[in-house]
Amino acid sequence: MRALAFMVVVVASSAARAAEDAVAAPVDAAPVAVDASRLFGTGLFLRVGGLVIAPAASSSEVSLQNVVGPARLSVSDGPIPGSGVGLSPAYMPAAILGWTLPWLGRRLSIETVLAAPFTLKMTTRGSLTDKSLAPYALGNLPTGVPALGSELGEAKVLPPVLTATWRFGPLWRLQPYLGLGVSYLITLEARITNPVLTEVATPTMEVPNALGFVVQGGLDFRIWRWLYATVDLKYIAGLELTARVKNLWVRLPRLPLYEAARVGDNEVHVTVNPFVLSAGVGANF
Amino acid sequence: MRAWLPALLFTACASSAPEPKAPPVAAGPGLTFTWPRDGQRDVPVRASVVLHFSDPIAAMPAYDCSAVCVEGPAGAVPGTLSVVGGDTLVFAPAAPFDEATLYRVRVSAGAVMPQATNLGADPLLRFTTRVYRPIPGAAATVLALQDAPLDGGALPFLDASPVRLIFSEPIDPATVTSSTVTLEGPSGAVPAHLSAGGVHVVVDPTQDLTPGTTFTLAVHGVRDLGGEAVPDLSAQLVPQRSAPDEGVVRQKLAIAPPWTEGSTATSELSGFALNASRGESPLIGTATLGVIGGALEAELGAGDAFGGPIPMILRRGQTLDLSPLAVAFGGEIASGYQTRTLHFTLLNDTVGYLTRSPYRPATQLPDDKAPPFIDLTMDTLVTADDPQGNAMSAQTLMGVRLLGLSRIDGDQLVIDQVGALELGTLGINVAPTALSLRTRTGAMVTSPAEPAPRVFATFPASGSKAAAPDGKVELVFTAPVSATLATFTLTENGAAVPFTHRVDGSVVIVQPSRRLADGARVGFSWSGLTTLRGAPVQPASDDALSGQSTLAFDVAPFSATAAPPKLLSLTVGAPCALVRQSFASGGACSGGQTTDDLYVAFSMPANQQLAAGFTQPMRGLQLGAGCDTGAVRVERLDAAGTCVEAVKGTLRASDRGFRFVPAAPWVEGTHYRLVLVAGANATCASTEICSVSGVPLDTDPLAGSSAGGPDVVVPFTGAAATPDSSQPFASEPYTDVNDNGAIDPDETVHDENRVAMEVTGTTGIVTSASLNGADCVPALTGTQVCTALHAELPVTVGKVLAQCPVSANGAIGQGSGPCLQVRVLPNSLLNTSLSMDTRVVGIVPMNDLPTRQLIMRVREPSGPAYGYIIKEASAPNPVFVIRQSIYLDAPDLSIAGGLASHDLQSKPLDVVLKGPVTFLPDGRMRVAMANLADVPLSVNIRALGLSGGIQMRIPKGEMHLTVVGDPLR
Repeated sequence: MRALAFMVVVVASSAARAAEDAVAAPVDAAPVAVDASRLFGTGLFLRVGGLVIAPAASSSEVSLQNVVGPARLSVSDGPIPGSGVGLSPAYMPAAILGWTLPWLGRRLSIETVLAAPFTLKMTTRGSLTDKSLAPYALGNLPTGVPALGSELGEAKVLPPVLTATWRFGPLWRLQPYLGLGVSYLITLEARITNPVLTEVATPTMEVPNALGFVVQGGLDFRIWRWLYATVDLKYIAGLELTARVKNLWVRLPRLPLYEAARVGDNEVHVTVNPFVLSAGVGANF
Repeated sequence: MRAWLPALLFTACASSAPEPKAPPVAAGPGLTFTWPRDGQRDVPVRASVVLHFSDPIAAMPAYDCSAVCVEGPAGAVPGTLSVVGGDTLVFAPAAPFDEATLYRVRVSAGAVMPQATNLGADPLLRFTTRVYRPIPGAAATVLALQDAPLDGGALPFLDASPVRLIFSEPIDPATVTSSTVTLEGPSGAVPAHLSAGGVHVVVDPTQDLTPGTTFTLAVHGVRDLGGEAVPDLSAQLVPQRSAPDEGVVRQKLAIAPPWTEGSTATSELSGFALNASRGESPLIGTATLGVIGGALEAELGAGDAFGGPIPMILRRGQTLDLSPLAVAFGGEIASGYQTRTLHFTLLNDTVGYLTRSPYRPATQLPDDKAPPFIDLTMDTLVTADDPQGNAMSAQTLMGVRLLGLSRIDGDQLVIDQVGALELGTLGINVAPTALSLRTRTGAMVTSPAEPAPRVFATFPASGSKAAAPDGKVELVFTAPVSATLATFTLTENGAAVPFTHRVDGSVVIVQPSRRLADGARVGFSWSGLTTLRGAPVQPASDDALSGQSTLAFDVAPFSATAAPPKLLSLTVGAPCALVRQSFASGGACSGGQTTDDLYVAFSMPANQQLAAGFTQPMRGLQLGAGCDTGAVRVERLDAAGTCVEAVKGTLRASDRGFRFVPAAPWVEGTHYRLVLVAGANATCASTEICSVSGVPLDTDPLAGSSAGGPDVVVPFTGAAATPDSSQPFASEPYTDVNDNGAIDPDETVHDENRVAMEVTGTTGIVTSASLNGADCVPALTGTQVCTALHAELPVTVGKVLAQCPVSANGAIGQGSGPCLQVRVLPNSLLNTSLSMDTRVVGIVPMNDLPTRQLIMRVREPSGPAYGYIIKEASAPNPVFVIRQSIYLDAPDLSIAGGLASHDLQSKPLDVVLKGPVTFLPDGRMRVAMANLADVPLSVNIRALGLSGGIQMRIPKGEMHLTVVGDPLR
């Protein structure tokens, strides 16, 4: 049995973009006045839309610790061969808020993503999904412990991202940009939701906060004067977590003598490295 | 600006998580194990009571029923309460518990563990002790069909389960046969191993039963040890499948760690030596049998089929190895014999259960303070690697209850178990033995290969000419055998004889259903014997029967005789009608001299039995049911010596004797009386003790051989139970089978029991004398003529004396070192007649003067007669030495038609007998003694006012007395 926890978070930020005077080269031949690209000339910009987080997660094998009692007849401390955890993609409304610095030709911006803390679903991988963690005690006595299935747990996270972007162009109505930044994953709540792992007792799950590095690219499309549509893709690297689950119990339906076994604790190292794709419409103010 | 700060503004309320579930509640401090468990029956009377706790005991509690006590009908049982390992209480009773008695264990939590939550019951547990003796007037009934280790419920009957019947009193194993105990299925009788011992009868099918099928167990014709018929029983059984759907789950249970010499490891549950069986008996002292190796393969049943308990099945034939047993009398007197490796073999399939702690609520999940409990009842065999050791130690132990706990160590299950055995020692007594076992799963241990049994010894020996007409036939094999598929044939002079048979470990025991004819040629043959696992037993050319599967021997011929039967031995009293007897004095034999010594007052320890031996086959003996009734009367008396009631008990008659087993132990200080009614005349009445020929018992042979005589009245007093062992030694082989005082033509002369005498001179009017007969000791000068000797000499093996009162050559006060004291009860040795030619005053010949039967009586002039078993450094075997005064009588010697008198009446002789103590191949103990010095004998004759004498002697070494113990089984 195992537990695993993990988590990730990521969210991305979006692109900031410099409002660079409406910048860029207008699509039509006639130059566009700078003021025309901003509503108020503050340098702030906002895009409202949604994002999807697609973790490119990889994990170590789930490792058991402090296995005690009857569970020792079936599993022991150490990694569970072939096990792993993953993260499900997440979709949510989000907004990108940025500020174009008034220097460097208004090409440099800083931006962040505004999103509500969201729930990141954790899944099992490999042997955890379709094989019982502890099919037999003493090597050959059936325990009745089922496979965990794909569901593992969830974590409510807040993943603030802060990036700096540099805009190029514009080319016609398009203005691409690239950016770099940091992300800091804040885990507000994490818990195991797997029914096998929560049938006897509720385990505790800890996912520490983590710092990641962001690379991003995007494209602004000026729809009309200061009204823009933006597509943004971020890749958050180095977001590595060690999720720990404690006090894990499983029911032993075919060993009612013991009825349940405390599996102990487990931990898994997860490298999240998510891609965050966001799209939105908004204005430069 | 802090990027995440505005994000919080968008934070939605977190979704509410389900209410957390708390993990199962851990057990608190308390009781985790007891032996025995609550409700246990058939608890050996010498077992200790063990209470094991999860945590250290607060303080040594007082042994008092307000704190801790074991309470019997008379209140707190005296004994020793000790704390072992800080967390275990062990109570050892000062004396054995009473048998068939309910005891209560009372524990006050406040005195032992105030924080314990499971010590509230009062009593904490109850148990009932084993029933050893038949209950007169009550037939055995079935108390349990499948003993139930499951609390409050019946034990599930599994396809692998043997059927275990537990009776209210011991069952006669000879009556448990495939025709009296049957298991019928849809296809008819189910082939099964049958075994019986004590209150247990077990039917163990050779193949697992078909789950879901109805089987019928029938009991018809079984008798209890008292000979009373057990009510017929018929019960339906439907076995359940034991194995999980996935198939049989096997686990190897290895001894962990094997016992080694000097090991100090102890059981966590009891403090007993770990993986060892430690027993104590006066015969072998304190001996430890360590479990030195082996493993048991357990089949674990489906964990979810029985609501929690997990069956554990140990298949028959599996073996654990035990350390060799060095036989040392009293634990100190080396016998010169040491067995090789002993084996502890499962006789039947064993089914036990792993359950939750019975000391906690059923909902309590197992944990360190409430570990799973294991309860196994097994039937086992003890055998030895070496044939001699096997003959001596082979035995069956039925219904051995092992209780224990399992804990998890690493990825293995460790099972600690405690039990109590009653290990027979040399067939003489029982060593109460505390057994502790620790096994561990997961070991890759190979069970030893099953040995191939071969015949090592037989009883009677092949070709024997002196078998008893009511004796058993025993085949002693070198390893356990099964007779489930065997066929036996017993013939008497070629004609078939009905019989019953049973197997006691590695010994096949055949009991003819009737007395065999005197002098008959008996043939016994067999086929189809197998090992416990079913391999055929093949004869081997080097076995005791040279590869044959037949045994032939002769029953001792019994020549018709006019001599009346006599008492040969008594375990309380003397083999004669007594005079001047009282509770303060044993009196003397009727017909003896008035100056005869008086016997020591007779007493009977609470745990011993009455037995008598006769010189001839006896007619059915009638036990009195009330005062002054029956031919054999065992009566309880009041202070005035008046009979109050007949003592309830069972009379087990044999061809030439009986044994009386009281239904309850003799009560210390209570007066009793044994009466053997002979009748005053030569006519045999139904209430008199007579031979099969209808001749009444001659109870006063010293008054001359004649049928009938005064009743033998032996007053005795009950005494406290003793650890001493009784052993009914008897001379073997002996010549005068009919004990008529003559060597009849068809009797075979045996040198092992005879007395050679020679005339050394004459005095007075006797001017010459010579003995008639062949010189039986040609190696000596002169002529020695032998009389044949026959005796039964029951003894009581007592304690070891640190300083032996005699030396190995019988010198008083010169002993050095320890010896084992053996009391020889005051019985008699019968000698055949000597014939003598004498000449009186040189001219009057008196030829062929027969002494007729000579009687040697053991005297007790200054207390009990003691012999000693001593180990001499120079000899491989210990020796038995006795310096003893005896009376020699020739009550039927008549000289010159009575004109002359003689003084061969209560003629005192002092003899020193010595001989090695050895063991026969069939395991019986044997002592072959001879006199260490000449024994002079002067017979004075007086006639017509003149006197003379004949000087004789028994030359040194020429009184041969060879006695052998009873068959071990």
